Amino acid sequence: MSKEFLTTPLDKRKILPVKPAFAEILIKLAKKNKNIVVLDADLQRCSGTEPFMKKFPNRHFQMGISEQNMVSVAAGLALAGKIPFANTFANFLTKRACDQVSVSVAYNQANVKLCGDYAGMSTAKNGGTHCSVEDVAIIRAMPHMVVIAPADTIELQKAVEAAVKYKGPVYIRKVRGPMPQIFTKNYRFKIGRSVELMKGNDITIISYGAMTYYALIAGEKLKKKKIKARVINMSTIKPIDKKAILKAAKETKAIITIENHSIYGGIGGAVSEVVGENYPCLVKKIGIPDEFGETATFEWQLKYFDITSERIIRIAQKILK
Amino acid sequence: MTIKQLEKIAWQARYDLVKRVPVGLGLHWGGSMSLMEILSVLYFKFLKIDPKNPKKKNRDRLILSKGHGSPAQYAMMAERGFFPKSWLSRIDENGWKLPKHAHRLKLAGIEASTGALAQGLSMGIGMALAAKLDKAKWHTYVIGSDGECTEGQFWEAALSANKFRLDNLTLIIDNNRMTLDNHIKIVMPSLNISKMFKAAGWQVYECDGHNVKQLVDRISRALKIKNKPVAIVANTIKGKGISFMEDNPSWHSGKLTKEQKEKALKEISKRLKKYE
Repeated sequence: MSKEFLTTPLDKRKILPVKPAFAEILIKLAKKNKNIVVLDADLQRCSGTEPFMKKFPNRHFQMGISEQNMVSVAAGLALAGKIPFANTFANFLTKRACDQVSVSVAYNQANVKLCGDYAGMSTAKNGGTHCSVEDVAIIRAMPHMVVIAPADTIELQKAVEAAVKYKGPVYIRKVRGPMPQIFTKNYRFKIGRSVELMKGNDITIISYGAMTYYALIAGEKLKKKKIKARVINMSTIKPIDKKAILKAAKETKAIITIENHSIYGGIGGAVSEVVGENYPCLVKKIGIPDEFGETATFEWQLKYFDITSERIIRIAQKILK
Repeated sequence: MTIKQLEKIAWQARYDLVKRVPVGLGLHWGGSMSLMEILSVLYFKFLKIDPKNPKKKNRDRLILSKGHGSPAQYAMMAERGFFPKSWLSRIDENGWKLPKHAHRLKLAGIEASTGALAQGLSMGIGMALAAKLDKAKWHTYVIGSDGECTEGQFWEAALSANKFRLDNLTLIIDNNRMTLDNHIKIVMPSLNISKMFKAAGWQVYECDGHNVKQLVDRISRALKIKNKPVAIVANTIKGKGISFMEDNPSWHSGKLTKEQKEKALKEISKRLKKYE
């Protein structure tokens, strides 16, 4: 079986831009599937859909700075048989248009693919008004919604492909990027399936999106300290991979979650819900505390909120002492 | 279908709704009664639909953006043969197909689930765009309300419908000039629906929303307009046909007592008799 993910040294990984990867897969799929259409709310330069618009001008809709209308229009398109991808900043998509996502999309079970850009602290110097600290929590709580946050550009492309095949509303959480490569072209992405990127039975680290790379760094460093960490990329946050979580709860000492999102209601919450009901174990949550984002680079904020590989290592060492 | 027949159907639907809904059930009576002529004209004159095959390809789409008017839509759908009239007595029944705000996944023939105001126009725009992409001939009708025009999303939608030149979309505003709390003049004094749609680039017609002849005329004209969407501001009376409800904001929603129900039926019967 060919390898699904890279095992090359982490500091030697290619770092790939998100936008061209997104546009490339949309165009590829749209050539085969005439129902795919794309909507933007005046943030096309951030969503990266311009190449799609050039290739399919009739299938791209520039909706202007009108997120609520964009989301409901996407629902209408879906109810008439189209597969719309609606793009804007994650923070605006999930909060400005929150009711539209809930009613027009989720309640109607409209086949809309919502793509939230510049998620979490990756919006960087746009600051607190643009930083989505709670988008995963909001969308995860909405009935019928699928939530996917890819860890690299290959997973993003596979997630988009899977979202087109899946009939129903999907939220794809994208970061600004660029993103270090985690997966290979052979990766078999499946909605709801997590991937064990590193084997270990001492402790488990669960992450998604941009933080998976940092989870891997922690895993590598822990290995040198004779601690074998299981590193799981859980890119589908809903429906969550219960099996993998419970296996980790049973086979390892504790679970550490790390995310580019609030510690409330994200993967930390989702994992706690699963173990709490089935196999209680310690779940340490690393993420944005009860705070909004800062006007600062992604890396600066990670240090500021202590969402780091070093923190994973400290917690793991303390638990295993 | 003649003008007289369309008028009669509106009154018949009013009668059936009042007659069949159990005493003491809270409904949005005011905004349902104001809708009846608009609905009879759409369901019996313009909508290309098949009640026996509600999902038929290339059917026209109707979205009731003011979802609280669903009881009126149910009454008209029953008249049109989508389901037996006996179902009307089960409106709002726990878990039943006819909830207070219609849900497309509960009842065949409902194109979009509404209830949270002002989303229906945007969804209609999405459908109209899809029809354009498919080069399909079907038409999208959206029924909105003056109250919805105080929501921001309605104007985002208005701008975009003009941008995309959606001449396959017709919006009918049930302009009953009241919202839940009060007369709209008091709630939001500067609202001027016709002017605002004109400013957004729409073709606007006004009419008496209880005058079937005028409604037929305006919708016929709307269907001939090219390159822009049309809004028909239909001036209506909230609670139309029931004297104690008419122009009375407290009947936005409410429960009929046995005596009130009898009085309402008597008044509606009188109007119906004219068509015998």
